[in-house]
Amino acid sequence: MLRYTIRRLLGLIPVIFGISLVVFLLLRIIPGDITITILGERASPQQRAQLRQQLGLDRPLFLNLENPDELFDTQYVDFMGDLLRLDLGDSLLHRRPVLTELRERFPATVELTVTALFIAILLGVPLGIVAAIKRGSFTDASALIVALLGVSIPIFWLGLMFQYLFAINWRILPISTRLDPDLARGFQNITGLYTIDGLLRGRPEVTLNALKHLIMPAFVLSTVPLAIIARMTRSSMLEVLGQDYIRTARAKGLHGRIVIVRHALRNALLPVVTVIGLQAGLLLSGAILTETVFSWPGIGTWLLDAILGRDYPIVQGGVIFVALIFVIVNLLVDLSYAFLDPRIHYT
Amino acid sequence: MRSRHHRRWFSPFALVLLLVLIIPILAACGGPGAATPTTGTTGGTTPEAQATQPPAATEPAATEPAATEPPTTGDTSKFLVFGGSGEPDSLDSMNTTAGTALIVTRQIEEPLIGFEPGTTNLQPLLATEWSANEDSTEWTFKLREGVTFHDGTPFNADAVVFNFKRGLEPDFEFGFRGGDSPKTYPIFPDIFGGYKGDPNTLYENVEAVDEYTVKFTFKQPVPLFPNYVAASYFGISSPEAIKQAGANYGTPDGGAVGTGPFKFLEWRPGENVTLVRNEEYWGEKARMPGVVFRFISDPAQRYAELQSGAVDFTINLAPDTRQQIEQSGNLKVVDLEPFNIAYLSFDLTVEPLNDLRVRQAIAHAIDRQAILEGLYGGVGEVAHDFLPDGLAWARPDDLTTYDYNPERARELLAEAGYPDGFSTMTLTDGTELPLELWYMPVSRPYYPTPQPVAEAYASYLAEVGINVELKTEDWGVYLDNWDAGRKHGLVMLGWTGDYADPNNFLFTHFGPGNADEAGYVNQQVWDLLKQAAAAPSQEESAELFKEAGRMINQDLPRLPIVHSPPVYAAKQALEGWVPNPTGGEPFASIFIEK
Repeated sequence: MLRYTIRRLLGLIPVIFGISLVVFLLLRIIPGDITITILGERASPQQRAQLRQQLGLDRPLFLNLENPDELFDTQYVDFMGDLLRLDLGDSLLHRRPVLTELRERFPATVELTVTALFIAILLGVPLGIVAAIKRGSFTDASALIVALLGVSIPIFWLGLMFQYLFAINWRILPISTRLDPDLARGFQNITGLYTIDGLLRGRPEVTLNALKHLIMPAFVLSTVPLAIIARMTRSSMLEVLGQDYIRTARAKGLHGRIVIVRHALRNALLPVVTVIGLQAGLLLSGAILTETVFSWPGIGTWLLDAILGRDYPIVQGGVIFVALIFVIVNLLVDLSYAFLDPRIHYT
Repeated sequence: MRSRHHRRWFSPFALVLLLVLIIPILAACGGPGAATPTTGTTGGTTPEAQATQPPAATEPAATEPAATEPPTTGDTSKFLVFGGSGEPDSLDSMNTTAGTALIVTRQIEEPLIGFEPGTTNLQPLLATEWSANEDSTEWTFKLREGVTFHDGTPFNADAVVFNFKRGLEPDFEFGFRGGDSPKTYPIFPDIFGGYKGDPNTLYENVEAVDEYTVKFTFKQPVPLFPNYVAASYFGISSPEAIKQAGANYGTPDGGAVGTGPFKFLEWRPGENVTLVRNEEYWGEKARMPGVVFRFISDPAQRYAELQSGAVDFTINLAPDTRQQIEQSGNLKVVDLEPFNIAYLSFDLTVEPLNDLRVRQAIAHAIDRQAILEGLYGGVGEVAHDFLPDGLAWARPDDLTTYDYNPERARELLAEAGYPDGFSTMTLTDGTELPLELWYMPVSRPYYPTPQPVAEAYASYLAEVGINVELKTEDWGVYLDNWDAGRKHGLVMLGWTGDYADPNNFLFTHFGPGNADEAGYVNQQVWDLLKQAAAAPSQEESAELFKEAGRMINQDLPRLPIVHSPPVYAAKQALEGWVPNPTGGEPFASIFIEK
């Protein structure tokens, strides 16, 4: 198990290297650059050229062939060198270290996605089980419809509808952000998760307010994984329920619920865990739409602004980080198989 | 039996039901509490609030009405919430050109000169009086005495000299131009032609004459210098704070320190900037205890936030919200004088746009009044010149207006040899392309809805036989290609002024390095604009501007469309907000009453 884990972790190195190369290249291939964002429409071409030079964007990308003495004095070599020292550079736009910003933004995304995943599992798994047990019934059909809607309703549309109903029309939920400004003012974070920090700081009203702010975006974000989890649970349960040992268990006179929970569910859970893991990775990396609709100051809005503003260091650092998270979550999912299914061993 | 019953409670299905129920209950609980506004900063006081376990908390909403109630109504302990159109890039006013930043810095760092509310007329601020020598090459400012920065540093001539040297002199010790995050002070070369040492710079020197007198010296006359200094770019920061924060000054970590009615409290990246009232302010103190600047780049979202009560006032909404707001009852549109220009540029390097009669025909073919009515909510006016009303003193009053007249357009086209119109253009190298009409991919205050406007142009032009191909591309690329003179045909663009100088509109669009990219080279116009900028007095300057304006009006290299103000809106209960045309008004006078 340990050897397997180490091997998988070592395997991350080429992955990260590959991603960094792709991101670095893609960013520089797409037209447009940051000088427009920094200087605005008013800037003259000369001013922009000057800024480009100041920021080092006019330097060669990979190898300085014009001047072999400084062959490696290039953007990519610098970038990789910094990356090895875990220095993601400074944001061109905000003029601050990317790592600092990442630390500020990541907790917001964690808070949102963990809550969303929590909702998705809590609703999705039972929904799938019920649908499987009552296959063909009205409940099953409803569950299928819910699942279909969940995957097919665009998140931003759902978000806007929720905002309109709950925040504008009925005014029962805050429309956006993580906390009311009057509560956020001067509040010192510890973990960066307002729900937890509120309790740690002895300010339960912060926690409650943060929860209120979480409801809409988390629910909206949970719809897709919820639907996928429900469908996967249903089909996996159906398969297991049709197997001989379930019939044997029932024949022994075991109570229906015990058969389902102890015998069927555990075995049906393996593919569901895979799906949950995949969704966790996707959510952590891709809450961009939800974060945008709800002005959620997480990784998603951070990356989106950086992409639109051509803030290379943020995009590079952010994408590498997100990729890392995705790969690590997948590793954790693989490792969890061993616990769920005793037949699986990693060597 | 008992235990089985107990277990049934926690069956998965029950859990689903429980959650499905909890969400609406939790939500509904916010409702009744909304009637009693609380400050929201003290601890939860009701017994329910003590039950803190999150999923079980069906009651907590009752203690948090703050989120659902318009937060500031009738409660002066609440901070104002401003729906800004994006996150500032820096709170160092001299080191940014972003409107999203300057609206914040204007509250913290005050310029030497201010504006009379709602106009571009100057009035004393940190300087009490100012005067020029005979030919406007020396400007002397008397400073207000007894003013201190938020950090206690005294405001005096040395502080002013420090601030301007930092922007204008590249070798100044505290300019922080090196390192990983260099400061660039981009507005200085823009206005003064370059930094100290650059061949084209107007700047010669700035010095403290005595403790409260500052003298600026220039290489040639700068008659409009006070108008420049009044722009939000030239907010004065505390020298001590700059020395302490170094290159970090103006970032979320370094903050900002000025003399203004509000003090910097915190900048939560991605969330907001919060300022608190400066209790030691030298002038009339702010009415509200503080102001929160939110970053909301999407106009529709700003409007939604305003409707929900989460923000108190906001700017640059879509024109079609104007009517909804006026009918809403609890919101209002806040008027402001337009200080912008939307225009349609002709590429004079291509055939047949190089023919004046063709350009005149296009001008006569487009019903600009109808566009103003239909796509700008009817507010503002059709433009016959690039200068908005705030700069009318430099505008000739005998302009050709090119009124809507398709008949005349057809005649002009026939005279030019295109009796049936045309649908192609020929580049200088002989390439023949479909006639292009470029519209911006983004909403800007001057063209809030570029695509529908472009479609309107296209249909008006089709009426007289001119067929265009509508085109757009990524905004950064759009501007890149524009700067490089790679955009042919008709191009939509515009401008919002940021300081009260006719050249902010005229030189920007017709000076060297501007319209010549699109083939308009008129040496006389260049000379007139330069002379106007360097005339010894504003009266002489005005005459020169007018002469240049007449020429531009006759040459018609760019067709001015409208001066139309962006939609600013606020809660009905908000008072005292007088937006400035340049976008730089202090928020001190704003308050919310029941």
